[in-house]
Amino acid sequence: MNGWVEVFLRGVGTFFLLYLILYATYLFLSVLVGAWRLYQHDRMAQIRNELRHDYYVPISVLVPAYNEEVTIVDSVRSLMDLDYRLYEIIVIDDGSKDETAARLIEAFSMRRVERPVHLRLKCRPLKAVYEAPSTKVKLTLVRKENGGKGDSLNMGINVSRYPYFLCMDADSLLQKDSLKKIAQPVLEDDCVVAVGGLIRVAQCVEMENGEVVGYHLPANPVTCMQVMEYDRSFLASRILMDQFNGNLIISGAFGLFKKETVVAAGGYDAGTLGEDMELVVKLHVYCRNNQQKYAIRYEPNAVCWSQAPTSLKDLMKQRRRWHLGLFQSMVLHRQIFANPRFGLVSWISYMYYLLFELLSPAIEVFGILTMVLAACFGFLNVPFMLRYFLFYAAYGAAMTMTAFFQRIYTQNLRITLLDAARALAMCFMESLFFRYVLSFVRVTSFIGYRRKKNQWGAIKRVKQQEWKA
Amino acid sequence: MRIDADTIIYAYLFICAALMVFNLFYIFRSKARKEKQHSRVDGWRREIAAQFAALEAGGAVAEEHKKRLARRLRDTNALVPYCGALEEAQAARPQTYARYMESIHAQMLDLASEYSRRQSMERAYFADVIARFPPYTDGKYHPLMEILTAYMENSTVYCRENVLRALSSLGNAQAVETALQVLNDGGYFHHHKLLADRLTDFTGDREALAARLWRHKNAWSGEMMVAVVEFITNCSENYCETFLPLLRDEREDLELRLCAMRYFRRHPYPPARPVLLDCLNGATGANVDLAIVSAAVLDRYPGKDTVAALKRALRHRNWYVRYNAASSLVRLGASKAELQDVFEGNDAFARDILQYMLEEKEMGRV
Repeated sequence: MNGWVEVFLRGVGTFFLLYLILYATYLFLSVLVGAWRLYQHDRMAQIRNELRHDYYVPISVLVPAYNEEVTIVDSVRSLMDLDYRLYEIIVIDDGSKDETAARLIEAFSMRRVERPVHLRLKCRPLKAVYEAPSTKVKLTLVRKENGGKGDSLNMGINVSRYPYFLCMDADSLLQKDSLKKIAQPVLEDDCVVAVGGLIRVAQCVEMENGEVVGYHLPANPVTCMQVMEYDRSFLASRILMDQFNGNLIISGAFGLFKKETVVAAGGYDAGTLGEDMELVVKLHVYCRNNQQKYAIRYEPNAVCWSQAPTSLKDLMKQRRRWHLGLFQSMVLHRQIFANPRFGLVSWISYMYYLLFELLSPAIEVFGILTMVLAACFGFLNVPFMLRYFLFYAAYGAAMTMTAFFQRIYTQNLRITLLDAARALAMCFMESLFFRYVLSFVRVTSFIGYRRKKNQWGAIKRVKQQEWKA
Repeated sequence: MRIDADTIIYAYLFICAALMVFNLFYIFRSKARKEKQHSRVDGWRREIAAQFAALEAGGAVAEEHKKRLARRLRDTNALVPYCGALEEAQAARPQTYARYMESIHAQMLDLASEYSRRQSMERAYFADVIARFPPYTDGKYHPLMEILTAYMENSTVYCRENVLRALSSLGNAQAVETALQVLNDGGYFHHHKLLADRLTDFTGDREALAARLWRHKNAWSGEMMVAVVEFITNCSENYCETFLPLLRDEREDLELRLCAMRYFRRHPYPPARPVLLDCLNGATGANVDLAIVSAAVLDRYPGKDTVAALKRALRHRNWYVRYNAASSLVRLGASKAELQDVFEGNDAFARDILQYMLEEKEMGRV
């Protein structure tokens, strides 16, 4: 019996060694490439290698909202001040149960109009359209029956007038130059069908008139650890995958899309939880199946500040949705798996999400069970295990630190010495504990899957002025 | 050979530490460089002020200064602060600045040649310098323009954009034409909106430039000619007769025809009216895009036949044709009596869209 167990444990040990080497290599390469690209961007901006142009593409900014009465008016007001020549704002109220629509109507003196809507994408029925008569940027409010975020965005696309649309969250803040920056790749390359921007945690920032005036780490450890996690993810993975047109996710909090291509591909899938990822994967599939030359780009200079969950409960809720969304998108577009027609999108991007995102919680649980088995049979080398664990955590923390300080530097932000020390501590905390909490959440995310699959992932929202409180 | 787990772990930790050290090193180096830039701007500011003072006193730019420019500005780290100081001097003393630029003309030409051997990022920067501080050339063709045009080969979109800006600011039509020829021959993508705007910035004779560029209609790509037509739309009303046949010619590039059609909105031309009406009615080919654009353009062609055609278009199978037709009817100021039959008719969409456009007009949005 012991012999079989030993063989099994050796096999598992080899598997984990290879798995972690692969992951560590990916992480290392992505941080290295990300850091290098950001330095290059910085240098390019210094010596004016950028498009300084007044005209960009006309953009419809779509703001889907569900029970957003607390933040919606401030969000729309901040959107009115963007430094961009031609854009419109469309708020889609997805059958909110609170006063979301009423707050907007009152704040902007909106009035109901009988506007015919071109229903090119399927969505839940329209209730009413309102327009603001005297805002400097055209503002439209669409009230519809509840159908989820994807369904709301489909309605927004139907109502939109311009050839490009930008999707964002109702509680997010865009920097003044965000639209300019995110539209640049479209002018650089005709084949660009989608551009993702950089998402950062809004609780860190103080903004005035769309410009960052202060940056500090939030006191709440749950939020603080997400700051580290976001910085690593958006510095590393996105930039690396951008090198070979392989990004499979453009965050729903901030992404620009070419309307005609999205409509031709069928728009957002209202039946999935991760509608943002599903759309991007669908665009890859659509363009490749139709032999259409395309590019999906990531623009790290276009910044959106998005509210992160502040309580563990909200965070768990959010991550469950993300994991289920990932699962749905991967299963729905499984034709990409090991398909040579998809090139590196299949061999690197899809494999990465499959092995290190979707399956990783299961693999981690399997690892823990194996350790219990090894302990039972007396094969567990506890000092080696602890050393291995600590080294691995240190490695992860070092990568996260690199990403965090990189961002601070390239965005010309200033932080206090105390914040720097806290960041350092949080990087270790994130590597030692936080990621295991999230793994647990992801493993258990399928419980109640059928019941939750079409719900908005509502988390508690607060006004910008209250973030620091 | 057997490698144990510890070795691999230590190797990774070493790589990781090296990455961190490199990162920190780069951050501190860049910070130090930025601080040094400020002191360099001060140095150049003093030096340029001394040369300006000499010029204003009736003297000339010192040979030593010229030599320093030729030697030191080969490095972009020196060129950046020099440009910062020059920009201030340009704003403060424009007349002396013009004489100063004339004096250092030869050095700028040498530097242009020097930068042509650099990577596209640095070439782009030098082109930007020329765009911001164009040397005086009297609009004549100049060797500098040839050097700048050569920058565009195998370069980035930023480099091409900066070269176009530089050439537009130098104001020579032949140079701009050659640059566009390079873009066309190389098959380089440069967005037509960017191109059209750079052409519109041209500081020389824009009519002459338009004539030169239009001569390439049959030789250049459709995308390039779209940019040319957009530029002509912005700067000349003399192309009505030239563009009118494009509207009818089904062999022409569709985008070019649509662009030419928009020209007739900016510059109304009565002989274009029947052609536009034909396009709206679908008589000119079956392409619905022509109907969509003509529905929008006809708002500049008042008349009973236009109103009748637009009212018919309210029932068109294409949503955008109907939308534009309603918008044009309202812009034309069609009277209630003229639109009565639409409001009393059984086409609910035509009624709704027209009603909506009238509301938009009330709000001042149409």
